[in-house]
Amino acid sequence: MNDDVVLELRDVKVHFSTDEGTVKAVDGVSFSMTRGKTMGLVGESGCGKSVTSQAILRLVPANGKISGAILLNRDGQEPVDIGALDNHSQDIRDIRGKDISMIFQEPMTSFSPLYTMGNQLMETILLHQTPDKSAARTQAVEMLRKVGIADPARRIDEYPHEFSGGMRQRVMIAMALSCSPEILIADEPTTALDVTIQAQVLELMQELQKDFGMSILFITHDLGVVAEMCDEVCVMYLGKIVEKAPVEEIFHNPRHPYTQGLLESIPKIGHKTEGDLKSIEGVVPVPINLKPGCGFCDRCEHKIEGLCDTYNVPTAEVAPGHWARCFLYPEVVEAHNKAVGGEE
Amino acid sequence: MLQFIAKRFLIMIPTILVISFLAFWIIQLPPGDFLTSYVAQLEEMGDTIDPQVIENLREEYGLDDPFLVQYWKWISGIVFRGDFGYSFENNMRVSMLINERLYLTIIVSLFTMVFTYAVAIPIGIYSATHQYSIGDYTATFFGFVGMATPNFLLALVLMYVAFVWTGNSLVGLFSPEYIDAPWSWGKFVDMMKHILVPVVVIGTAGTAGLLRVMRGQLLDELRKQYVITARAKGVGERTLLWKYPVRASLNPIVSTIGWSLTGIFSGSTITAIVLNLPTQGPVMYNALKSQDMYLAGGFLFILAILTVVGTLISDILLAWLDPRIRVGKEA
Ligand SMILES: Nc1ncnc2c1ncn2[C@@H]1O[C@H](COP(=O)(O)OP(=O)(O)O)[C@@H](O)[C@H]1O
Ligand SMILES: [Mg+2]
Repeated sequence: MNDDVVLELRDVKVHFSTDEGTVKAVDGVSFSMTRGKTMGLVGESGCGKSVTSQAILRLVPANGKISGAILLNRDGQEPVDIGALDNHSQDIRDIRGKDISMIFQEPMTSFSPLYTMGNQLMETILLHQTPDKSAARTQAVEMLRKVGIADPARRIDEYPHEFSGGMRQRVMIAMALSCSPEILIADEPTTALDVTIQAQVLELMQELQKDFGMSILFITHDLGVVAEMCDEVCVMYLGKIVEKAPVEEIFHNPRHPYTQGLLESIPKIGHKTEGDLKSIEGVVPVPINLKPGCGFCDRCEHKIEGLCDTYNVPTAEVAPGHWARCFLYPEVVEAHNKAVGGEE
Repeated sequence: MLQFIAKRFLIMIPTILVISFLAFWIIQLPPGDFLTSYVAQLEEMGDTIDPQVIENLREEYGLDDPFLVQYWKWISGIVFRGDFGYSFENNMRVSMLINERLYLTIIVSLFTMVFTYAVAIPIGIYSATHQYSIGDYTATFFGFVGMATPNFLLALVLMYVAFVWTGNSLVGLFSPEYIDAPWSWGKFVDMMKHILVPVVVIGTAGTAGLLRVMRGQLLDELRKQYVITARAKGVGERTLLWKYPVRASLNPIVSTIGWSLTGIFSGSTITAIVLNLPTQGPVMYNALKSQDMYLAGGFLFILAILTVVGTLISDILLAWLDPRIRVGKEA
């Protein structure tokens, strides 16, 4: 495994069994994250971003089954396949919070209201770093200072309800980074915050990334935030990655009609918006009992009859480092023909 | 926290006074009084009683005084002399009667509460963490059966079973030789043998209800984001369960301890009659029937105080469990 790659997902699937049938929330996702860089995972709500991130830490709800390989490549250690671990094993618990940690969308509900911030923050440190309470406390205070909490030695003994949303998210970040993880997964970390607070939190994350050198998997539905934060971007639709490229490529040269639609629906600074912003018609369906074919074709303006609605679309490299899953590109059609030819 | 407790204590005093007033008022509500129903009873049986004697008694007990004067005599006696008045029916001071019955009532009630919580909470936790498993369905089934079975029926069934198994119906709280004996180890052991049946009978319905509450609360808490946060930190499942969701789901249960105490007091009367328990229920019931007003009022008053104290304990426990309440009150 390439040393620069810190995490690699290979054909990861998460299927939920429900009374209505199998929900293929994540259906064959592959990407790899580069050490110290930020990968964006973008898409409308319901397309499988959160479940993908939960799969990485094996936190998917009990009715979900994870398959595929999730290779974690820690510095100087043999890669481990998280996909093969047991949900309750000591191995996965050692990874959680230490090698890979996570912050969530809702700073309101992400903490238990019954314990002090210090208690919940020190819990991670006590689990993974030191059994010594006073050392853990010192370290926790230091982390709070780093994330910009004023008077941390006093505030550490306060309860979550005494913090504002933005401050809570800062504590959440402090908690996630307290054991210097290799990877930070941030699932819509600023979606619930006011715009000004949002900017501060994003800036903080960037500073801390320089400090701690971790890689970030940044999940959002907001392309504006992606432009600011990410080095590389995966665009996700209906459980699949439909486009993957460096961030400039995504913005200047989007290939997949879904990505193009997402880009057209955000206002651009410096451009006068003529009339209304475009938005993509329709909503993300629930991935249950899906027909073969491109998941997006019902909402797509460029749909090719007999192709898009009939065959599953493979991905192909349409430009160097730029992958797309769409029959509009000859590379993809070629990959499809090869695959179909191979079967016959 | 101390300030919070002190404040709650001060609020208790006016609450209890108001309750005493209401208790006395309610006891007085039915037309007539003990003497009129006593005379009526005698006349029914063909006896007569010298009206002058009755008149003297009325005078002596101040039965014709205005309501407020009667209330004042009663409450000042309780507050300043610990004197609860006289029980006409039993020809005894009320305080003697209360003394005898009250501590047994409290013992039975406390045992019932311990039984209720000790059974309901662990099973509730199991049911919630194993939702839709066979164990969960079994607990649910017995829970509903327990809730739906009337206490007196359960009492009769258990008495029968106890009789078949031990040759002793385990009626009452003590074997005959211990009833009037002073406390001893033997008497205690004897009581423990007898107490099981009433505790199960009185506690079953409450246990079944509490089990449903515990299960529902815990299921709610288990779905909350902070559980995932803790899991994502690497906290083990068992530690996580007890530290976060279980503790959170205890809050609503703790906050109703005060009421469940009242429920046990008033809900146990029929059971106590069926099982011949020397607790307050049957005495209270008779006192109400014969308009033995000081006896009924005295019991009502003491039970009300116990309920208020129970609520206070709930509140203190809740404040201790939930920082949002504690901090909110102090601020
Ligand atoms: N426990 C579950 N059981 C069944 N379906 C689920 C479950 N969790 C998520 N899903 C489905 O998986 C899909 C992806 O959800 P999610 O990853 O949360 O989307 P998002 O991109 O908004 O984060 C949705 O269609 C959702 O309904
Ligand atoms: Mg999500």
